[in-house]
Parts: sequence; C-alpha cells; structure tokens
Amino acid sequence: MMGIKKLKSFLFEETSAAPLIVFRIAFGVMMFLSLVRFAANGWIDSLYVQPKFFFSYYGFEWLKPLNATGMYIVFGLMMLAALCIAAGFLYRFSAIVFFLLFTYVELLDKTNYLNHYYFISIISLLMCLLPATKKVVPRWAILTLQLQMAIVYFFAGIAKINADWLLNAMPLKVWLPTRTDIPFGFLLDKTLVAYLFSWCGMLFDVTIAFFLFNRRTVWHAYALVVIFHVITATLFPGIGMFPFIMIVCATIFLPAQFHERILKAFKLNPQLQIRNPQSPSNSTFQYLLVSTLAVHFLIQLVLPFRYVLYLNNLFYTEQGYRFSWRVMLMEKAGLVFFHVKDKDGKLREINNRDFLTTQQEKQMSTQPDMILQFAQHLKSHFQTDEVYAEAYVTVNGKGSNLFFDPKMNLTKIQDDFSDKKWILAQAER
Amino acid sequence: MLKYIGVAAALLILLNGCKPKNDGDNFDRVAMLTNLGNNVIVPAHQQLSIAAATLKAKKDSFTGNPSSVTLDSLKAAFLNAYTSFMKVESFSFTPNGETRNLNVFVTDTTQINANISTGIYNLSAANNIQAKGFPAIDYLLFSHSSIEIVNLFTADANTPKRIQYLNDITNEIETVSASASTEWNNSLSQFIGASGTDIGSSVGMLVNDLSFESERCRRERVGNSLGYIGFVSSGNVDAHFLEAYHSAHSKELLAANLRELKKLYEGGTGTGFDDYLVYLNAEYNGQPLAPAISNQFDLVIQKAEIIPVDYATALTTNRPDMESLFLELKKLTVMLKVDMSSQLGVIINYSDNDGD
Repeated sequence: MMGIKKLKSFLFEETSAAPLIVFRIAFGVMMFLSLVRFAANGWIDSLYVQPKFFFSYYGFEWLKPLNATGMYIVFGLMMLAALCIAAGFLYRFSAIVFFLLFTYVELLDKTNYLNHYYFISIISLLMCLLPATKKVVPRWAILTLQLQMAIVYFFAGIAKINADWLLNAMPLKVWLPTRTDIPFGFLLDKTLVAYLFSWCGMLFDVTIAFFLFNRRTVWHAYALVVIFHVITATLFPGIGMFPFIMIVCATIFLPAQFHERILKAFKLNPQLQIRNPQSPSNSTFQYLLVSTLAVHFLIQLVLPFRYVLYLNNLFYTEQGYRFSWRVMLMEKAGLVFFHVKDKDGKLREINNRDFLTTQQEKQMSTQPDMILQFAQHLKSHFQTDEVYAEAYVTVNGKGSNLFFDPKMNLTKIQDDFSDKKWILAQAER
Repeated sequence: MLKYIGVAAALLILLNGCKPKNDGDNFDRVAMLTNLGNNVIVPAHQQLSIAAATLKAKKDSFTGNPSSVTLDSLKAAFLNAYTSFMKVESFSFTPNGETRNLNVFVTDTTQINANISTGIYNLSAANNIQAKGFPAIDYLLFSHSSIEIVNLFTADANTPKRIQYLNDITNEIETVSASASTEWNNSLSQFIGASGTDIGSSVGMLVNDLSFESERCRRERVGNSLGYIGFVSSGNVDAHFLEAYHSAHSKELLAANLRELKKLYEGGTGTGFDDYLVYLNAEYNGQPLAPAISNQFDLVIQKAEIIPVDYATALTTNRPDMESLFLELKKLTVMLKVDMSSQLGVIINYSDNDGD
C-alpha cells in the first residue's frame, strides 16, 4: 500500500506548469504552420477533393468528406483552433475542436495514414485533458506527454529489431543511396553506412526515452534527439514536418527552469494567474482524468502487439501494422490488375486510375484490406458479382510475389479483423 | 552539443577513409548515365530528327506533285519516321514534354475529318490529341487505296484544306523532334549530373519511363485490341485499337519499341540497368533478376515478331499467340515496375505528399 501512496503523491505533486505551457504554445504554432504548408502544397485538394473514392477505416464508413468548400472550411477551422491553442484562448474548447477535426480528416482515407498524423491525433486528444493554461499543475499532466513521447520512440525502436533491419540493413541499404546528392552524400552509397545507420537508429529509438527521463542525462539526450531528427529530415525530406514536430515536442522532457526562462524571455509568464490556488489533488475530476489516461496508456502499450494474433508475415500482410509506430521500416511495392465480369460474362481488366488517384493506387497495391475495399467498390460500380485481382508485391527487395490466388472472387471475402488466410505465403528466399 | 558534432565529424572522416575490400562499393551511376545518354538516348533522338526532316521533305514533294510515286516515297518516309519514333517515345525527359503527344491512339478520325472540313483547329488543344501526330498521318495516307488517296489530295472538294492539315501535322512532328534532339544535346550534362536515384534524378526518371512504356505496350499496343482492357471496347477483339491500324504496322512498331526498351535497360554493349541489378545481387524467384529481365525482353520480342500475319488479322487467326504475347508483356511490366524499381529504391508514379 505504501507504493500506491507514494505513486499518488508523486503523480499529484504540484509542479511548475512552464513545460506544459511551452509545449502548448509550440504545438499550436507547429500545427498551424504544418496546416499552412499542407494547404499551400495543394494537398487539401489532391487528397480530399479530387478522389472519387475513399478508403474508409473499418467501422468509420459513415464518415464522409464534405464538398470542396466544406473541406477548406474544416482546414480553416483547424488552423484557427491551432492558433487558439497556442494563445491559450478558449484552450480546452479549441483543443477539442482541433482533435475532432484533425481526426475526422485522418479517418476519411487510409491512403493518407502516417504515423505522425496518428501522433498528432493522440497528442491533441491528450491536450484536451490537460490543464495547459494554469501556472501550477500536478505532475501527471507533464508526465502524460512525456510518457506518450517515450512510447513513440520505444515502439519505433523495437519495431526495428528484426532480421531485415539489423542483419540486412534493409531498407536503408536501398534508400540511402537515393540521397547521394547531399553534402557527404557519397558516404550513403556505402553498405557499411547503411548498417551503421540501422543499428544506431534502433539503439537511439529504444533507449532515448530512458535518457530523456533521467535528470542527469536529459540535455545530452535532447541534443541527440535534435541531431537524429535533423539527419532524418535531411535524408528523407519526404517525411515532411515530422522531425521538427518531434524536436519541438521533446522539449517536454527538459527541466522546468528552462521553460520558465523561455516564457520570461518572451514575457509570457506573468499574465497567467492561478485560478484555483487550493491544491486540486483530491478532486474527483482529477482522479477521473488520471484513470482515463491510465486506460489510454494501457491501450497504447498493447495495441502495437496485436500483430501476434495473426499468423502471416507482418510486413507482407500488414495485419496489425498501423497504429504501432512502425516508421520507415520497409521498402514495399506492388502492382494489381483488377478484373471484373461484365454482363456478357466476359472478364475485363479495369484501369485502376479511372477510380483512384496515383497515391491511392500505390497504397492500395500493397495492402490487402484496401484491395478488398476497392474490389467491393468495383462490385457496386459495375453491378457485378465477380471481381478478381492479380496482385504482385515485394517487400524489402525479396522479389515480387503473387499476393493471393487470382482466381479467387474478391466480392465473396469480408474485410474484417480476422486473419486473412487467403493471402499466399511469401516465398522463402 | 559540440562534443556530439565532434564525434559525428570524426566518424564521417573515419568512414570516408576506410576502403572496403572489393574495390567499388559504389555502383558508378555516372558511367551508366553517360553510356545511356551518349549511346542510347541521344543517337535515338538524332535518328528521329533526321527521319522527321525526311518525312517533311517527302510530304512537300507529295503535296507539290501528288502521284502514286510521290505517295509511295512519302509512305516509306512515314513508316521510317514512325519506327524511329518508337525509340524515343519512352523518354519523358524530353524537355518540351510534347513528344508523347505525337502518338496518342486510337486515331480520332471524326475529329480529323472535322478539322479538315472546317479548316479551323488548334493542334495543341486537348480535343485534337488523337487527331494529330503519327496516328493522324497513318489515317491520311493509308486509310484508302493509293489511287483514292492521290485523288483526295488532288481532286477533292477539301483538297487544299487536306493538304494544309497534312502540312500542319507533319511540320509539328518535324519541329518537336528537332527541338527534342537539340534539347537532349544541350541538357546531356544535366542528365548525367542528376545521378542520384531520388525523385527528379535521371535513374528515377528512366525507371519510371521503362515501367510506363512496358505497361503501354501491354495495355495499349496489345490488350485494348483483344477486348480485355476496361470498358472502352465492346469486350470483343477490335483491330481499331491497334497502333498504326491503317498501315498495318503494329507488329513492326511494337517490336521496335521493345528492342529500344531492352537497349535502354541493358545500355547496349555498355553499362546499363542490368549491370546495376547485378551489382545489387537482385533476385527474382531465387534467380538473378538482371538476366531474368533480359530474357523476358527477348521472349516478348520473339512473341511479338513470330506472329506470321499483321496484328489486325492475327486477332482472329492467331488469337492464342496474341494472348500469350499479352501475358508475357504483363510479366515484363511486373519485373520492371515492382522488382527493379524496388531494388533501386525508385518511386514509381511519384505523387507529391508526405510519407513515413
């Protein structure tokens, strides 16, 4: 019982809110900038207005995109909410609006799933629960964000503990040589460097959270965080804002004095008043919040392991792949030829691009659940009961494999969470 | 912070100094691109621009004096230029980007006739993309008997406008071919310099071109006419979907195109993608990938040429041969688009958005 008491006083001990306030401001600003970049690149149009068909998530088929004007309004409101979060204006309401709109947009199409979008959804959800405008906060408020960050790094790290990554330096061995044009780029063609990056990347991800939690090593660890993300941003410009978001978010581990100095430097501190001077540690509301967060973290710890419920090769079938912080783990490519039976009983090959955008076709080609969804779409579009697909997939340079029996009628297969036993085993090479 | 930078710098210097045992850990992509540029791409463009200039000259002699003799030599020049075009069609890098628009079939004969009779058209407009270039000349010169063609260019109500149309579409071919050739000469060093494999690199572009073109052979040069593809056709064989339908040269053009793709892949006798794949130890079904792709090229070329009649006839008389050609082209597409691109880390159909 002593342990629980200790934990309680640890969690509810009052501490400076400065780290949380800096986090809130930085997160709001980063989100605003990311959204501006997203809009400026024309992605609202290309990802949410142009597509004629959307790959819904299981259970979220009822979520539909709005028309063009509607989607632009959604993004406009999101930008506004991000600014309000940064300013601390109607904070909790803004955080909820941001979380709901952002998650709504992400749930519209699996094609656009990125771990860092998932990260943003989760952080904004957590922020709805945190008292990020107060001057003094219970420790759990800061711990929540630290723990979430730690989970991201740690799971990204253990996902790298696999034969391809460590023993074959795949996919870095293929990816790094694509960047030989940068300064020192000639090194990237060397196999040794691919191994070095693979192992260092794994060790960094697995251990960094422990060093960030430790007061004596936190500054060194943060320096490593910055170096690591700057390197990934240089090597893989395609990952966009993610490295910068992580660099900013990882400041939550730094000592409170640092954040207080920042706030002072920007003259942001004095305006914030303690609304409730009395210690809030024994309020029921707080207990409720902490219990909710405990459930959240339990899910976070279990969800990445759900893949063990499936028998097939994880990278190949991607059953239980998403929402698990598997970042930049594989080089996967695919090609699918769909055939539908017409009214005269003739098989016709359809052109995927008549229905899908380039990006949608590319994502669909390697992911079985999306192949099934597209088959269902073709079924209703052509009013046919027979849809077949000849699909070829390669993972980490192992060579193209026939994904499943091309004579299998895809309309007869339900897409659910059960093991997709119809996927052919990956040939042993 | 400084300490880390120091360590990182020391590591970089160390790595640079250590030489692996097998000399050449790096595949020399610059050498490959130099070979492909100098010995494959630039000569192909030069050949086309000469053939297109001849085509223009023969067209001038025909329109100046339409006869079965001048028509025959125009037809010969046309087929020669069309075949030469097969060698450059795959290169999307053509700086003005208009090359591919010179060969969009199925020919829109209705549009061509409308353009001729009104005499008002803009060849750059989207609705004329199937009414110009090689497919349009194929129609104008081969859709009737020689006597009838000569008659259409001498004694028809629309003769002056028809001559004007032939002038305009032939001259466009000549202009675009000549400027593409010049541009390639001028930007060869830029092409060789973009020696990464990222987006916008020459390797990335060529791998995309190889995939695109082999898929075009499968789908447009063979599949459409077999009635397999989409709902554009009735689902039955239909020779109108063939390339060069009126001159019945689909077979020759397909073979020429595939030979050039193979040459691009192998780099002729010099360094090519096959050497790159050998260097990477790339495998396909447990066997080396590089010779597997070369063999597949040989197989599709053989299957394309072995058909004893022209493709329009073959659709009815040798349908199994056409189907077999179609299936082997599919295999080739998978090898190039999935296996090769993935081994080289090249993104096919790059679309602009973030990844992770």
